[in-house]
Amino acid sequence: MITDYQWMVGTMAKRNIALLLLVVFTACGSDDEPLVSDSPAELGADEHTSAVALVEIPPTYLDGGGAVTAPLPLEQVGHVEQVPAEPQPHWVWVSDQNFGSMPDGRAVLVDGDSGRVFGMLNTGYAFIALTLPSSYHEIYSAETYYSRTTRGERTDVVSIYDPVDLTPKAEIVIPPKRASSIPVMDSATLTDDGQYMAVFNMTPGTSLSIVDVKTRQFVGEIPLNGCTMVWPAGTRRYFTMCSDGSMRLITIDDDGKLTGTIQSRPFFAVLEDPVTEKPVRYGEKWVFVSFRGLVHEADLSGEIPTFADPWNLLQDADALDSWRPGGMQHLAMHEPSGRLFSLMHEGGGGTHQAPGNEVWVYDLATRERVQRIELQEPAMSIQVSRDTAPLMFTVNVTSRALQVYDANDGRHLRTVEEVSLTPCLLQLPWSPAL
Amino acid sequence: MMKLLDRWMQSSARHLAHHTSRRSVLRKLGIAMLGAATVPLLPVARAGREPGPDESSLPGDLGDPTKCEYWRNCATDGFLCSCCGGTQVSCPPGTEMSPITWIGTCMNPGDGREYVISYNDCCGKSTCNRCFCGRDEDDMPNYYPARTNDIVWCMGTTNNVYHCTTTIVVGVATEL
Repeated sequence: MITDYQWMVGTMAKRNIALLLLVVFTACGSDDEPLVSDSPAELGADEHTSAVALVEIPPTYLDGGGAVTAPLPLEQVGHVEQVPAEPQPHWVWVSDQNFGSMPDGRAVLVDGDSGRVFGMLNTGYAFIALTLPSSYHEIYSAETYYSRTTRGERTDVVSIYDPVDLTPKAEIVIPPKRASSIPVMDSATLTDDGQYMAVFNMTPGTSLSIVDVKTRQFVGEIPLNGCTMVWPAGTRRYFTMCSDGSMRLITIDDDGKLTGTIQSRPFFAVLEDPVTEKPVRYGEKWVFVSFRGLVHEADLSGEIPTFADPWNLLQDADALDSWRPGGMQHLAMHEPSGRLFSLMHEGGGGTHQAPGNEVWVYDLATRERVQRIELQEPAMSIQVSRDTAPLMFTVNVTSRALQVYDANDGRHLRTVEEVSLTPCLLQLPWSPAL
Repeated sequence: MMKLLDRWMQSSARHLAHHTSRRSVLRKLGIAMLGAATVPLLPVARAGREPGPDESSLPGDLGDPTKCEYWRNCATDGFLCSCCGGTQVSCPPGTEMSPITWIGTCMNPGDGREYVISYNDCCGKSTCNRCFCGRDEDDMPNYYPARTNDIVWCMGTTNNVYHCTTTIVVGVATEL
């Protein structure tokens, strides 16, 4: 192969190579499917084109019909795009563990309104998700690297990325214990004030690595004694889940050091009908859903967690039809309207990770189902933007597409093809605090 | 020390598996797990040394070990080592089998027995990317690690890079 290439370079004039490349690029361009396809009702969406003019326009030429035309202006080499500085409500980060080649995880930023891909981050081995502060002035990411890709020295870091140019601006080395798992939104989190990041470790002993992202320092490790994962629960507090069906609150001080723990009562039946480890936040409440659709709401506004009486997503007829919630990120919460979105499928027991072909929408205040949305394609993950004209996003690891819907009426708006390789989780850079 | 603990756990798990029912095995293991995960006391199984399992004594068609429907795969979530240069019970060349893993229980269609299956991952090379199999029978969320197939179980190995998953019989679950 190398020999062929050398022969080609050695025997062809530069001009011929350039012509050859031009033909190749032209052919590629003409055969491609559109990467963003809008549903019929949305035709006419914004186009995004850009060019940089550099020089005076050279003399004019006659086209085939005899009209005078100007050639394209010459363009500058070396320009690199940046993401617009102000994040918008309909942007979404798609994280990708890249199951086909796990040392090469990535995250891709997409504008849900236009379908434009802004760019991506490389996030190392067994990547799970970004950690986004509500201020979105920086992007944090707990990552694992090996010095020889799949061998050599392991280094775990919290990388800090600039959200505009998408380059790493700092990194904090943490103990090489970061848990690797199928992506779930509980592998790392920030305290509510955005200062202390907790990274879940599993060796299989479980602990948290605490990082002060303001001073860029690893603060220390907090043992979890068998409890797992981590979610935010206040400005100096996290919670973890324990295998007896309880949660443990972890409180830290202003130096990021452990000051105390509080164990809740078990709030669900672990072996009979476990909740998934994929709850969604609603203010100071967290909403868990069990394999069979039972909703457990945990209120963390006080010192000790309290739990509302559970209720069921499924009516009797639904259960008879074997409808179940399921997926990788199967719940989304739209806080402004108090609506819970749940991916649903027909499958019965043992299908809690199966993709949903419908989304059922509930009013959390009344506990009533208010909508059923049929999906364009089955989805394993769902997210709903936080604004008052929300979009609903879905992905499936077996499809490379991002699907975009109107979250109010369920209408499918567009498909963003080839958004990533095995798209896993969906995260929102914009929040109302911005 | 860890080898002694491993050996003890292996022996204990097999004893449990031989003498208790499927649900009882899992319930007792679950209780034993509570609060115990700061040291590696998860159910541990050592890899078999044979090139492949001998199932010839079992009657009937046991299926194709390179297919997800194969009986041992009832709780597999990963790439089948049988498709990657290994077998159901051995790792592909150049990889390393994790000594720490989780267990499931699958019914063998040949003899109708429930067997305790240890899902040991093979580690040290990038994803095999052949014969993906995702079945979640009896799989539990990550807060219950002993029965979770969503965790990369490359632990106790030189590194934690996941390649594929084996399915090793480590016991027979029988009713008391």
